[in-house]
Amino acid sequence: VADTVLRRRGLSVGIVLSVLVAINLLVPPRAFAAYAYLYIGPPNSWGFAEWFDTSNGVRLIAQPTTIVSGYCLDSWFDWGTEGGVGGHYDARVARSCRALYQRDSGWNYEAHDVKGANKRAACYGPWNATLGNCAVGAGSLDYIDDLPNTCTRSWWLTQGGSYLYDGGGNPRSCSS
Amino acid sequence: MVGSVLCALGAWSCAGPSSTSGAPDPAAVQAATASLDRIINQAYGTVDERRAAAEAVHLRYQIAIARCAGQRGLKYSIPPFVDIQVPNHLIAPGDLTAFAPLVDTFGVADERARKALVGQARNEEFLKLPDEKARNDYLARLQGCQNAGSATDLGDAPMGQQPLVDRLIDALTEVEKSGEVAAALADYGSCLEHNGYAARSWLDLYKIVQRSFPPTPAEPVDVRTNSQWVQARDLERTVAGVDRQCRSDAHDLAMALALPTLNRFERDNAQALATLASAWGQKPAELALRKREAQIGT
Repeated sequence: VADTVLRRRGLSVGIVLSVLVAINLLVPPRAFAAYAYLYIGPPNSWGFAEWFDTSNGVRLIAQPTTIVSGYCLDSWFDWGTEGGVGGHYDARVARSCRALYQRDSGWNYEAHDVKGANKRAACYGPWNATLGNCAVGAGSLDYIDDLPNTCTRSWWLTQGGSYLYDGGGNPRSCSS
Repeated sequence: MVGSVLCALGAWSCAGPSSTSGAPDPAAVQAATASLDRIINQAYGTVDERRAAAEAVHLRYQIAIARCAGQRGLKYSIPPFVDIQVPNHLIAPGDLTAFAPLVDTFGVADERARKALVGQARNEEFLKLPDEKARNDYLARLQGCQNAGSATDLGDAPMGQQPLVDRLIDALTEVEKSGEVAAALADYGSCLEHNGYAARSWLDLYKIVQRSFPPTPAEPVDVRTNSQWVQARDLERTVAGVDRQCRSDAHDLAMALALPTLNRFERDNAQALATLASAWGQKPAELALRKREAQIGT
């Protein structure tokens, strides 16, 4: 009797699962979007990240309020890889080294699937040495904070009033 | 072992990938290395072409900001380009541990020295302003121009490079995950640890090297006499030696086993590789155009 019940239960579960799978296939997946603020450094300074998995759009903003001379505020983002894909994706960062003035990457659409935030942080510290003081939203702090570099796509505002962008080379290789 | 079995079944040339001793056949390693070099040279361009492409993107971006600034009655000086490209023999597609080249340096010391010579970008028009209030007023007006360059194509590489390199990385990843290569790489992390480096992959090691360098200063300077830079450069060379010691066998095995994959990749993508090589070849001319554009006026 117990065996029959189990098999019947297994059958029921199987039917339910099949229906769910069918529904899932018929109904388009809902667009997934998320954003987050991380506060770090002088009061009310923040790093912002927003990302869409359907459009693969990513936007980063670094917004310092006051700032110590020679210091910068960063907003870092790295997205998750799909199962089975080897290697990694380069990180993205927006950095501002001017008090009150934000560096906004604007919307950028990645050529690879953005599957949520794998790593996310806002950091505040001396020029090219910001990783010592971070608010971490997800993942580890294994970025390379010396800009520009081939492991990071970067947007930054220097203390000397230049708006910079660097593509970081191939997005799946830190060596190029 | 896979190679031996396939060889016995007649499905594989008995010239490789494994010699009768079980070690990778040097001829197969050499052929695979030559094939990967050819693919990299076509898919990634030469270092001069990559540098030209990156500088052209830099100029496109900066020219757009300068034009936008001009429309707002502001002058904006285009900052100099910073060259961070490494020579082709240092490129590791996907940073895959099994296939990263065995080298004497990772190219980081040179990259840092070149960056330091340029220093943090300066907008001379901004710095000429008399005080902080004037600078803040200037930035308040310029802020809306910061992404004027985003409407342009920001990719350094020619169209089609990313998907092609993705396919290469995915194909090599399959070989790296195969039983024989995975087994050969199993002791890599412990070997590195035994030599004093807490790393599990080639990428971990690369990042250890990057972090060993002092931050590139904001002011332009020749760091090659800086003791911290010299120490980090020496460490980079030591790490490269340890990497070679810990990874040579696995690397050679992976290369030998990847020979059919690489041959197939070259054959199946011959047209795409040729197109990419041609597109990279046009990058220096594109850069010359951007330089003229920047000189003519923004």
